[in-house]
Amino acid sequence: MSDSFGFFTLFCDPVFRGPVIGSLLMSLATALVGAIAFLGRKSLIGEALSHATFPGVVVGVILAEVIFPEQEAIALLVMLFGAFATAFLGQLCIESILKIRQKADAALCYTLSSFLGVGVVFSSYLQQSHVAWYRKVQLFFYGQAATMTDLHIYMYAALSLGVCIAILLLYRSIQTSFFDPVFAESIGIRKKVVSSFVSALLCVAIVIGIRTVGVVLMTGMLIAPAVAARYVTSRFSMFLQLSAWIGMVSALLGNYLASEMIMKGSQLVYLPTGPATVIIASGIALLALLLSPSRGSLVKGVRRWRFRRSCLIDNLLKALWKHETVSLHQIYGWNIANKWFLHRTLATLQRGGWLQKTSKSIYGLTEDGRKRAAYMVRLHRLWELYLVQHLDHSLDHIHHSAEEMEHFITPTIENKLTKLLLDPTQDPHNQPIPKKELL
Amino acid sequence: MDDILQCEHLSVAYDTSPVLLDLSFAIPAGKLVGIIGPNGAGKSSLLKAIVEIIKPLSGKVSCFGAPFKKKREKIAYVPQKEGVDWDFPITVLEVVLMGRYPKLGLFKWARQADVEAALNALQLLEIEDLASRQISELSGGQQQRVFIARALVQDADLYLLDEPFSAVDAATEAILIDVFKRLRDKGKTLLVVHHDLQTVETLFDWVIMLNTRLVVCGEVSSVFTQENLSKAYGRKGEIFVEMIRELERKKSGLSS
Repeated sequence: MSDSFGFFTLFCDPVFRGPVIGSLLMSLATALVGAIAFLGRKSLIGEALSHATFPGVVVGVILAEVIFPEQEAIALLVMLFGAFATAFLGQLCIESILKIRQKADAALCYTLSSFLGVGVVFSSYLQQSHVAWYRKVQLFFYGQAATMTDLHIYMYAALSLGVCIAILLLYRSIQTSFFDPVFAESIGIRKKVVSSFVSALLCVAIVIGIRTVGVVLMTGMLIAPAVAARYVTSRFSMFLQLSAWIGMVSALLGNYLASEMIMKGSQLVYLPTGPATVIIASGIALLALLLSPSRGSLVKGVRRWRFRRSCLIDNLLKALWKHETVSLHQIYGWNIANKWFLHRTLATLQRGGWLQKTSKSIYGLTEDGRKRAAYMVRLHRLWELYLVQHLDHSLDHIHHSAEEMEHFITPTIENKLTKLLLDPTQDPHNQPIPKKELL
Repeated sequence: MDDILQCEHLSVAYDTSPVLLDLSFAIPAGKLVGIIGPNGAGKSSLLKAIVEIIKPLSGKVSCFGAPFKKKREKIAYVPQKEGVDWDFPITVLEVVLMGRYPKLGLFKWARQADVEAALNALQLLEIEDLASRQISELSGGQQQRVFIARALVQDADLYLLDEPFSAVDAATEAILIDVFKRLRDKGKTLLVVHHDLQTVETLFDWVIMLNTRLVVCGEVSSVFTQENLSKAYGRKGEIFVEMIRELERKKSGLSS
């Protein structure tokens, strides 16, 4: 960060204030509506509708330039209204295609491409006849936060506030109707009504968002915060709040990233705010997907790996228990795991005080190690006995099950087994079961 | 006591095929009522018609002497679980609190008293320790208890339960039966769609037997007869009733 440019400059500087506050408000509204669309399985509808806004933008720009030249506020309103109108038309289009029993994905694809096609044709025409108008249209295609002014702040503040109030009012109806539609009907919440409200909100949110992130990337802003939040929480209220925060943080970081590059005037490629915001939101979603404490794939992977390792350690201890001392060579011969892994595990066991090296490459369990190993053997043999005595398993089938189960048997279960089997001393193979008192 | 629920010539159809034809019956207050009948007899449809989720073709239903819409707050409905979105991010407590939404209206948020009532209901159903779990983490029986808890916080006078015992464990079944009987003893009325003919006599005071048409409606002791069952179930039912008779004779030592 350079001396002349601080984090808070973003909120005060007249150049940055518009884009930053504008996109914060925008992402608050779109993340909240996106979260609801995500739960209502309307993500793809969002994608289709955001593309469907494009012809509306083009028509809006033309109308504004023809009827209200030089009047920025009214021009903006006309453009937004145009976008809303064609998004609404897109919605109707999807619904009527679904009514004639077409597949949903076909309806979405058709609407998306046909509306976008019309928009692109119009805008190409402008490109030749009115280049200045064409530039205005292009702003909405890929989005551009940098040229937003205080006027945009007011406009988006009003729209975002409206969206937030609507969501607060609809909160319980949405929750009930999405979760349990039949019950919702019985307390007077009509699924159709809720669904139409959500669709309308979706159109408004998209109209708010396209100026900043553009028609093409709009769904990213809608859905990415929801995906991230869903991985972190399973509480509805928390889910909505988190989505909103993730959306706003992405907007802030996206703006910061983009403005940093402008400020430094570096040779880096010019980074537009919209895509930067979407990339950061997607990055957060990816992080949540990997690192979420309950469902993250990386976290799950680490847990699985740890469990596998603890099973291997148990098996190694049991094998060592059967011998006074063993050489490294013998241990390799048991084929419990690969050499590198065995080497590391042996070192871990040594450090933990379970294992000692008596001379070079000769290992033996310590007294503590022997107790721990004997306990594993006890669990194994208890389980085998239980299978034979109480579940009528035959002798040749029990070892495999016990090999697996010994890793899961908790002290409580061990107590129960001991009681049920009357504190046995011999397993079904006539091997002694190590006593508990000795341990 | 006045009748709490009254059906007059009620007919219901999906598309063009009728599921209920010309039903007329009345249920007095304070009864635990079983609704039985073969598959496709219209048991669930009857409940849905009462809460006006499906529109009747003809006839009318009145609850507490008025149309359902006017008495919505006095009626709690527990549908079958298939419509539920199990992936929805929602905790057990949030589900139970839904039962308070009709009372709170559109603009009020759940108050401390509502949360307390929800926790009490969970305690009654012995799942208070699961309050902050996501609903899909629970077993089928526990989920059913959550939905019953949601109905309890509705503080209704008439409970409509669609197969509450289907696919639940024995512990849940015992708790549910206990809760239902307690509600009945407090003067509430319960309509329970039920599958298991064997338990009808021990569970219910009244029974509605359906097979698209109403077969019979009345006290279990007088209408739960072989004759009526075979009317409702056809020949299949006859064999079943014979089996129950046989079972009873064996149990009581009347035959060997």
